[in-house]
Amino acid sequence: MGQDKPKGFVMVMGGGIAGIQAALSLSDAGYGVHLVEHTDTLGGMIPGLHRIYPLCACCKLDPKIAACEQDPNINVMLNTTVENISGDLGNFTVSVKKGGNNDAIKAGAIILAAGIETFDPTIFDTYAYGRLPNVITSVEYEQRQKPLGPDQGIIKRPSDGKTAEKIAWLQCVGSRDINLCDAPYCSSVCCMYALKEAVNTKELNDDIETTIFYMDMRTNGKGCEDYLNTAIERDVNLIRSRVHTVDTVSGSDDLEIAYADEKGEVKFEIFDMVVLSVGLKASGKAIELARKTGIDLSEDQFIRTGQFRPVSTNKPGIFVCGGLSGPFDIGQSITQAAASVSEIASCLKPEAFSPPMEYPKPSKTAGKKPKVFLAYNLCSGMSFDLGTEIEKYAETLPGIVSVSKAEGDILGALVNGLMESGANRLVFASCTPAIHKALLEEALKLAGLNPYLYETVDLRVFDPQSAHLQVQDRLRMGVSRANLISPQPIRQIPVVKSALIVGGGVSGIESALTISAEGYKVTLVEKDKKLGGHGRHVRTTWQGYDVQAYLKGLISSVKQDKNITVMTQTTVKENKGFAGKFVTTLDNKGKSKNISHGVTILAPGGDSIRPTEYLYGQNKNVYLWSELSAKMIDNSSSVEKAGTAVFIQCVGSREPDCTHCSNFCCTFAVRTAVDLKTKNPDMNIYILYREMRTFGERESLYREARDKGVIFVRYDLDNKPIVESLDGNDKLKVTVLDPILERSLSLEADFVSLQTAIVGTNNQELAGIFRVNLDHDGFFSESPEKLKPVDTSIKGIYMAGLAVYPKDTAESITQAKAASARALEILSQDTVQVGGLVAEVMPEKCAVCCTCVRTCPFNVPVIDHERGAAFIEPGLCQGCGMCVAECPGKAIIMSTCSDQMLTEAPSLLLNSDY
Amino acid sequence: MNDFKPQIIAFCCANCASSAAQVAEGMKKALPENVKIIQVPCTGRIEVLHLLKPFEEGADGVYVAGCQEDSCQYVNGITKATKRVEHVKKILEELDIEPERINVFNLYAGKGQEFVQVALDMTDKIKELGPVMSK
Repeated sequence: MGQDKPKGFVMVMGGGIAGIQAALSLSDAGYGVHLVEHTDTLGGMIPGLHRIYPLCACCKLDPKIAACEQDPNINVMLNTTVENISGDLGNFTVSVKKGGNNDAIKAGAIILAAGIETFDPTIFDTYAYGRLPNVITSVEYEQRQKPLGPDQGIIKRPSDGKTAEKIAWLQCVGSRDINLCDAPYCSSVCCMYALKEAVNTKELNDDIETTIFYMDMRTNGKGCEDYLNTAIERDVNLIRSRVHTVDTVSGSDDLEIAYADEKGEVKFEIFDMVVLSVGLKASGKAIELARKTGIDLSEDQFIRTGQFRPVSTNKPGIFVCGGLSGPFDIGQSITQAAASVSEIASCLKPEAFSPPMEYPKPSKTAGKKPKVFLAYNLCSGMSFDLGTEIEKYAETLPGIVSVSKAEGDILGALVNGLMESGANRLVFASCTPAIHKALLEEALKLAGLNPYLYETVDLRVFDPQSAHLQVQDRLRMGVSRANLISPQPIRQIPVVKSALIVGGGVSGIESALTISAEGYKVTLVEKDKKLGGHGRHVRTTWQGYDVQAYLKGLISSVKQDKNITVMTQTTVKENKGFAGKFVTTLDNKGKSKNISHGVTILAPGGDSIRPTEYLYGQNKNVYLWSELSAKMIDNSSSVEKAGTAVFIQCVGSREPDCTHCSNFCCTFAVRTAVDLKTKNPDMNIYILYREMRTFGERESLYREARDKGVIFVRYDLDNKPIVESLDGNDKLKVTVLDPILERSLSLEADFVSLQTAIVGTNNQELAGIFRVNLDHDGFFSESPEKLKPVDTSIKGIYMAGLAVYPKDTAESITQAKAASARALEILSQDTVQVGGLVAEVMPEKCAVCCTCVRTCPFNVPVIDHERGAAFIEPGLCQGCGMCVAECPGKAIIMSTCSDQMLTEAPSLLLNSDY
Repeated sequence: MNDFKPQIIAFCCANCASSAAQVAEGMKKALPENVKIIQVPCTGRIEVLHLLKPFEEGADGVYVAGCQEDSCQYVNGITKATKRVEHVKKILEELDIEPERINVFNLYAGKGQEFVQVALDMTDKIKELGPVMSK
C-alpha cells in the first residue's frame, strides 16, 4: 500500500504545544518540517499559565522547545505569518510573511495548529471589564499567580495593590451565550481552569476566600471530577448562578456582585477582585485563512472536521489539531497533534531536510583513564567574568584535558572539542541542564563515545557576592562525577516490525488499520466472539453520524486487511520484553500462542455498570442506556411511540464508590431525546441530571432539546429520584424533587433509561500483565513523564479508547490514531537502543529478597530463577535509581549516579581544597 | 554566633527542583553560597547513608528538594525520600543531633522562588541551632 503516495515536507502552522509536538513527531518519522509561529517564541499559551492541570508539567515544555530548535529537520520560523495556501496534497505552496518579506514555501501536507484566542469581555457593560481595574480576565489572573508575574505570585488587586482576601470567578464569560457574544458553545476548559486557579490560590494562602459562580460544573475529563472534589475539600465556594452585574462599592475599590441563588432570591456579596473566566475561540487569523483556502467551518466558527475523521479537514492533505477545531484542553490537543501525524503518514511519504545522522562506531572507553572535556555556554545576562573564572579554575581539576567555550553551533563545538582533545568524558556548564541533555548525548554519539559519559554544571542562581566560590564548587562536583562515571554497555536491538493491539472495538480497529497502512503486521486480539466492542451499542455520535454504518465499514476493512491477523475469543496471559521487542502469550479457547511484536496498543474498552437501584432488572421498562440504544438500533419505532420517557443521569457515577464522571452520558441523553422528539413531538421527555455536561459544541444539542420541549430537572445526591412500578402493569412512576419549585414532581413513564457509569472492562488484569499503572478511577494512567496523553508508564505500550477514560467515538478515534503514531515512531526504526541510564543487578550479591520488585514504580525487576537473582531489563528501566537505594544487599548499581559519587560529594563540596 | 556560616548540603531532583531553579533564576534570586547542591535523577535514589554522610564531613544541615508528591516523574520518588528523611531525623536524635538539621521540601516551577527560599530558611534555622554538635 501507499506506493503512489507523493513525497514532501510538512508545514506546521502554530508553535504552541500541539504544533511543537506535531513537529517533533514528524521529524522522528523522517519529515522535514517548517514550523511557523507568528510570535517571537515557541510555546503558545502554556508559558502564560500558572501550572497545568492535572500535574505541573512546567519542566517539560522547555526541553521540547529546545529539541525543536536543535533539530536539523525542523525549520523554526518565528515572527512569521501564513498569508495564503494554494495547491493540493503533495504540492502545496504556502505564502508566508516575515517582517516585510514574503516567501513561498513548498509543503506536501499541512497541519493547522494555530490554537485559540480568548474572548474579549469588554462588550459586557455590566461586568465593567476595562473600566473597573479589579475586574480581570482569567488569563491575567494566571499571569499574576506566576512567581515571575508582576506580583511575584502574591495576588494583589490592580487598583491599590491590596493583597486580595476575597476573589470571585464568573464562569461562561463569552461561552454559552448567543445574545452578546455569538458564542453559543461551551468552552470546555474554563470550569477546570477556574478550579485550578482557585485551588492554587488556596495553596498560596488558605485564608483567601475563593468563590466560583457557575451554571453547570463541567468537570467531565479524565481525573477532573476528583479535582472538583479536591476543590470542595479545600473550601472553594461554588455558587450555581449566572451573575448579571458587577458593581462598585462607594468609597472603596471593592466590587459587589448581585446574584440570584437557586431559589431565585437575590443576594449580594462583596469581593476584592473579580476574575472573568473567559471562553475560547479559534484564532481569528487562522479562521480567516481557512475561509480563504476553502476549508469548511462549523457553525461555531471552528474548523470543521470529517465524519469519523476527527483531525481531517475537507481539504485532503490539510489537517487540524488543538483549539482551531474546537475548545479542547492541552491533553486533547497533543493527542490530536499525534493523530495528525499518523494521518500525514497515510497520505505523504517523508522527505527530510537532512539525512539521518550517521554515528561512528563507539570506541571502547571501559577501563581507560577518564579524560574530561569541559565546555561552557553563557546565556545573555551572565557576566563575562564567569567564563574567565570557569577557564581558570577548571584547568586545575583532575582529569581535565581541555576547556572551551561553546557558542553558536554548540553541537559542532562539542563534537570538535571532544575529538580534538581526545577526551572520553564531557562536562557541560550552562543554564538549565535539563534542556541540553539530548544535545550532549548527540555530541558524544557523533564523537564516537558512549552517550551517557557526561555531567552538567548548572550556572544559575548564583549569589553575585560569592559567584566565584559557587562556580568552583559546582565545577569541582561536575568534573569529579564525570571522572567517576563508568560507561554502561549499550546495545542496539533490532525492532520487531509488528504490533499487538488488545481490544477489537473502534479504537483497536482504527489503530490496527492505521499501523497496517504503513506496511506493518498487526495482531488484533479481542476477547469476545465479535469485533466492535462498546461501539456496537452506540447509535450515533453527538452530531448524529451513524456509528453502526461506520463500524460495519471498519470491521469489513479489518477483515480484508492482509497485514492484520484478527484473533477473537482470545485473551492475553503474559507479556515480556521492552519497546522494540515484546513477547506476549495469548490464549485462544485454551490454546496458547506466543507472538513477538515491537509495540503494543491497549484498547480493551469499557462497559456501563449494571445498577442495583431504580428497579433495574425488576421492571422490564427500566433500561440501561446501552439497552435503549440497542432497541433504537434494532427497531426505533417501538421506542418512539412511548408517551413519556425519563432519563436518569449519573447512575452509579460521581458517587463515593465510583467518583469519576462518565463524560458522554449527558450528551447521549440529550441526543437521544432530540431524536425521539423529532420523531414524536408529543412524547414527554424528562432528563433528571445533576450537572448538564454538554461540553464544547455539544451545547447546541442542549439548546435544541430545550427548544423542542425536553424538560430538564436537576437533582441532588441527597434527593435521588425514586422509581416505582405502578400496580399491575409495567408502567413506571418516577418521583423527583424539583429544586426550583421546591416540590416533588411525579412522572408516569413508559420507560426509564439509566445512564450508568462507564468503567474499564478488564484494566486491572491487563495492567498487571503489561506492568502499566492505573489511575485512581481504575483507568490506564498517562505516563508520569507528562504531556504524553496516549503513552502508558511503559515505553512502547500505548493506550486508546474507553479504557483510558470515558469518551465519545470521535475522541476514541483520535486517541487510536495518536497511539498508532507513537507506535509507528518505534516501528519505523531499525533498532532500539537499550541500556545507558539504567540500574543493573549484580547477581552474585543478590539475595532474591524481592525488595527491588516491590520498589520499582514501573514494575520492571523480576526474579530470574535460572540465574538465581533479580533481573532488571535495561530496555524497560527508566533510571530513577529507587531500587539502587532500597536494595538491602547493595546488589544494584547505577553508574551514572553511583554510591561513590553520592558519598564523596559532600566532602568535595565542603572542602574547597579537596 | 553572628558570623557562623552554616554549611548545608541540598540533594535536588533533576526535574522539579531544576525547573524551580529556572524560575528562581528568572526572578534574579540568589542561592546563598553556603548551600551546596548535589543533583540526583530522582530523590528516590537517595539513601540514608547519603543523607548522613554530609554530617560526617562537617555539614551543619542537609535537605532534600524534590517534586510535589503528585508530580514525580517516577511516581513516588519524593514519597520515598520523605520517609528516609524521617528515618534520618530519628537517627540524628539518637546521636544527640537536632533532627531539625535535616528536612525535605516539595518544589515546583509554580513557586520557583522557593528554590532559593528554602535554602535561606534552612540557613536561618541552622544558624539558630549553631554548628553541629556545638552543645
